[in-house]
Amino acid sequence: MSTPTSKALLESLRQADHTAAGLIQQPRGLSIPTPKPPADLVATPGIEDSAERTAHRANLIALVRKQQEELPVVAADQALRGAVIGGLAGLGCLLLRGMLVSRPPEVDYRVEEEPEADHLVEEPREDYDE
Amino acid sequence: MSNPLEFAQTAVSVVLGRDHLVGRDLDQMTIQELEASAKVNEERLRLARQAAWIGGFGSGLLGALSVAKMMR
Repeated sequence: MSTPTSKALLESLRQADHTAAGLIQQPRGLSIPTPKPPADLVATPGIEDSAERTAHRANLIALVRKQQEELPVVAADQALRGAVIGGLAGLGCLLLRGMLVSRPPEVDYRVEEEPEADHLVEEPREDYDE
Repeated sequence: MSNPLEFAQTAVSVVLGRDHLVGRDLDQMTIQELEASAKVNEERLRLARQAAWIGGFGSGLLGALSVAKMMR
């Protein structure tokens, strides 16, 4: 059950709520509302909003700086990869060439004659006769 | 690798460290200049990647062959 006092309190709260909402919507301080560009202006090539142009410009600067920084890194990376692949390719070529060109080992099937053992036979010494 | 001359020029400029943006302040460039620089940089990056790979491949190949020849 609401009393007249509470009714007045509710009414004042509603009024304050409306007032506060209006105050929030109003520009305060030095804020200047940015007028929206016409619909055809945004679609026109070369004509963009100032904020969009600034963002685009910042993106371009970041892109160019990133490209400048990563150029030597990319070159060194690719050179290393190329060196590794080139080394492996060279070794592979040598291996392939060795496999294709190599001849079977020559085996000598001739029967080797046993060396004469004449030098092993001791000749009788003349000293023993005495 | 459309133009061999351009490829060689880019490879030499990358090796020597020359840059088309040396002495330029990016903050003072217009959007059109920045867009052109980004395109040139992209092309330079692509050519530098190819040149570095080819150079590295040749060096690795010759190095492997030389080492194999020395070990014989």
